[in-house]
Amino acid sequence: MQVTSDQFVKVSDKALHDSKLQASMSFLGMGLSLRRKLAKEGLAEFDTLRDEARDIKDHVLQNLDVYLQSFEEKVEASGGHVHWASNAGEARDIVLTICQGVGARTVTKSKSMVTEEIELVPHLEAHGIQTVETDLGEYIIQLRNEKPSHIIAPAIHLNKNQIAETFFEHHSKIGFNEKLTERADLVAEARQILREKFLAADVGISGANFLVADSGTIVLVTNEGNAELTTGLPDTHIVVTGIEKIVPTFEDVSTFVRLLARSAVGMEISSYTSFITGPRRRDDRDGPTNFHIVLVDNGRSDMLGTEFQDMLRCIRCSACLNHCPVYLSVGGHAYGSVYSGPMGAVLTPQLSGIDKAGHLPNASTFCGRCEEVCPVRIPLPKLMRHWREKEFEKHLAPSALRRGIIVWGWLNRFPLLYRVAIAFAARFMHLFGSTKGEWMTNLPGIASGWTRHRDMKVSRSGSFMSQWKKRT
Amino acid sequence: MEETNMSSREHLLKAISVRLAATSSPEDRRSNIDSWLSMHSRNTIPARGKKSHAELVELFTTMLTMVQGSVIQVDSLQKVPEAISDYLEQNNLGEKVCLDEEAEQLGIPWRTDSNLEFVTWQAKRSISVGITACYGAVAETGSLVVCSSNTHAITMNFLSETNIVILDVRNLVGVYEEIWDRLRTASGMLLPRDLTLISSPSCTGDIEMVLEYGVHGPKRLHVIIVGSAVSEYEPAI
Repeated sequence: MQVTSDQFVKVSDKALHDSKLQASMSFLGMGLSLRRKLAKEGLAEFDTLRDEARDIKDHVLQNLDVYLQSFEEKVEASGGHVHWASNAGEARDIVLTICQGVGARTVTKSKSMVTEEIELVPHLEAHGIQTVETDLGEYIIQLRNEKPSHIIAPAIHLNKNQIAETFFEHHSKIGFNEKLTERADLVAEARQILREKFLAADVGISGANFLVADSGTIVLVTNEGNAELTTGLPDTHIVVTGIEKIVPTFEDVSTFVRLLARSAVGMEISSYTSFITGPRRRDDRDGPTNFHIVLVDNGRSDMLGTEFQDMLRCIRCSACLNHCPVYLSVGGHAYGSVYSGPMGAVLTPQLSGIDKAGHLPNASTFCGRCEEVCPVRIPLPKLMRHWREKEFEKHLAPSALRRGIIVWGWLNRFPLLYRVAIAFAARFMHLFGSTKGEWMTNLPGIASGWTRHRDMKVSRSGSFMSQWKKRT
Repeated sequence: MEETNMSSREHLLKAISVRLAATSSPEDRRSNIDSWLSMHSRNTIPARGKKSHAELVELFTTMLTMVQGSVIQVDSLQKVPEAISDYLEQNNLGEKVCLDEEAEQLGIPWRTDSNLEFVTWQAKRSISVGITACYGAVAETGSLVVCSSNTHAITMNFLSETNIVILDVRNLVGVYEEIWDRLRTASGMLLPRDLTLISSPSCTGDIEMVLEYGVHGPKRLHVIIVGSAVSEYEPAI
């Protein structure tokens, strides 16, 4: 996965001054957290379901090799084919070979973060296969040649005027000459154009939200119905998905269905939840005759048995993004990865290396909201902390920061010395307080970088330890 | 076997089993999953789905209506054509409808007792009004259960601008798990190619997070429940 996460500081600075983006982000933050809260309150069993979902995923991960084989057996028994890809390149080639094998000229695609991760669409296009994203948000960013800024609302960084301009720029070339202003009209125009693409496609490519091991079923969740048109109309359906998506049974997947839409957007359930098992049966009225599943590892198995294993429980609901003060301030593009927000800050270093994505786990206030809302209870702040440690161990952090931490770490081993130093620092800070002595507003040297944007409260009553002593 | 000669499949499975070896043996894992899969144990089921059948019919209606679906209940199959005519008239949808084979076979007096005009279903064509049957429905989220089969082209549920679905009240249950049980009893869990839970008309929030209906699938979803709630229905445990 190509990432530009090393640009995080620069891009987020720009994002903070982008008023259009800021408007979109504030709406996202207010809207979705409230909707999730209401949906959670409407279901008394919600937190119990979260515990159960966590346990089901843990059970799957502890037995993943046999679950994958069991899933494969069932898919083959239902007439489908399973392909295994260790990395992104292998996955891309498998999909391309299948498409070329059926002589595909056009492909429709429903939204899949794994296909973003492996950069599938540019690969197919480079080989002359026109590939159309059909999720409305994905379609918009495909026209604009942008990456998704949110894992379930990929065009959330744009307002309707920007989308209208994009539509006019591209659709006027194919006879849609009216400049639209209303959301409903934009939706209607996209519907009309994409309907033709659905009907003409040779291959449909989808991801999968869950893979049911017991029956070899893939589960797809959408609100638009584009996944059903993508998978049901062409003669070939290719599923590209991660190895961690396994869920044992239909009973277990029911628990996840109850959690997913509520966590994501506060809906009781998404409009469409499809359980697809194999290709069309002999006498079926419709459906593809070829059914392929590409199971992608691409760094996932490396997380098993490590401190990052919990991340493999993730069901890509986006609750952690929607509740993250950092994500909501800088938006998804700043992360320089298709996975953004807290889940992206843990996953991106794994997929692309901590040397390239070290900023992401550092871009957290550790407020803990991500963990509070995660439907599968991933301890995201803890995992980000693990990445910070790894970054430190590998000597990747800036030298000033490293030296500071080393000094602090050393000091910390000598309690007496530590207290003396802190007491001294507390007094020293007074010198830099403003006239009222309450706030430091103007520190000299490198510290001025900090006070240029913020003030720091000056302790009036010495260090924590000295205050604590007075209390007891 | 040399690692370089291994296929991706073997490579991947080996990578996983090496990681898991610290905590369990392959035999342990096989028996772990065999016992889990054989039980099909239910996890926590929301209390809202465990009610009398009459209450479930009401819950289904409330849930679907909340998200722009519409529901009416008629007491017999004979009343269905008239109910459809009324709906088409109220919504200015004309009289042309496309009927799928499954709905055709329900025993509804389609052609003798209605002024509906039938157009033939053709694969990969958009249609204005599509009338379909369904496998059942789940009250907890107001979801229809539709299945592909030799009498039902499931793409019809998505290519129709208006989808009218006929639901036999006896197939309405409280929670998803009851549908899985029915599939197991009826066919040993022989699944259709595509089983979809349809829980609202097609919608998107992709432009400024405001919900717009009718993006790719139906703009309107209308359910006709046939029959009255069943008194001997036993709620899920």
